[in-house]
Amino acid sequence: MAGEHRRTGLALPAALSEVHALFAEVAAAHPGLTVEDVMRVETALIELVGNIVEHGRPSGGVRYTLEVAVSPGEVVAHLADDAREPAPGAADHDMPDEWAETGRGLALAGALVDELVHEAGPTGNRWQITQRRTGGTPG
Amino acid sequence: MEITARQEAEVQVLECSGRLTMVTARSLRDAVEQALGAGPPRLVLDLGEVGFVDSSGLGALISALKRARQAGGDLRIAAVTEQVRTVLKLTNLDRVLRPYADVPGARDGW
Repeated sequence: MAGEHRRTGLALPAALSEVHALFAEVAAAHPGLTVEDVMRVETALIELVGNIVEHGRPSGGVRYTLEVAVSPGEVVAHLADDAREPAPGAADHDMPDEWAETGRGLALAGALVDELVHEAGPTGNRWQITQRRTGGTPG
Repeated sequence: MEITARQEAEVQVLECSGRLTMVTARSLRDAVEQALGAGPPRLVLDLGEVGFVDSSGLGALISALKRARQAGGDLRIAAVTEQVRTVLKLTNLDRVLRPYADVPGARDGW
């Protein structure tokens, strides 16, 4: 099932449009998915990919690969990058106070989905998102 | 993201459409600065056509709220979509940016 829907490329701002396009594809291919489940996984991945775009080093030279698989029970997404430095984990980030203008991305990603796992290794970062499907139909 | 400003009585309504993300957050900041320089500092952001906001967009909303208050006014948001309502709630920003159901509701009764 892994890799049912896939995008790869350089982590430039245009990558965000690719993530939106991928989820339009996912929604069209799986009409039984609820709008909310798609929205939650899509928003979490926009935060994670946006984080690579903004903080990945070398800037503009980091490659990302995103795969999304839909099964009757859940949506699972795998995101990998080849950044030279480990990304901060979502667990390290508390939600900032209401007046902060930055620093919400990873905390928001973690709050949106049922499970968010991050592994930093010598060849880059790997993230796995799992969202159990709520309602909808199995398609 | 496209932003069109209009004045209604002593309030400026900024009608926004598109996605408010790290790519477009600057547009909102610029539009708010322009509005605060051009008219009354009571701003209503009509988000009815904004289907997606990320954390950078949320930062731009908070920045806009601060700027409006610094200018002696305030900022309200109206007609938010479900995605926007969800991210506001999960980040607790709905405590300082309470969404109004529609533009007339936000525009009246300051």
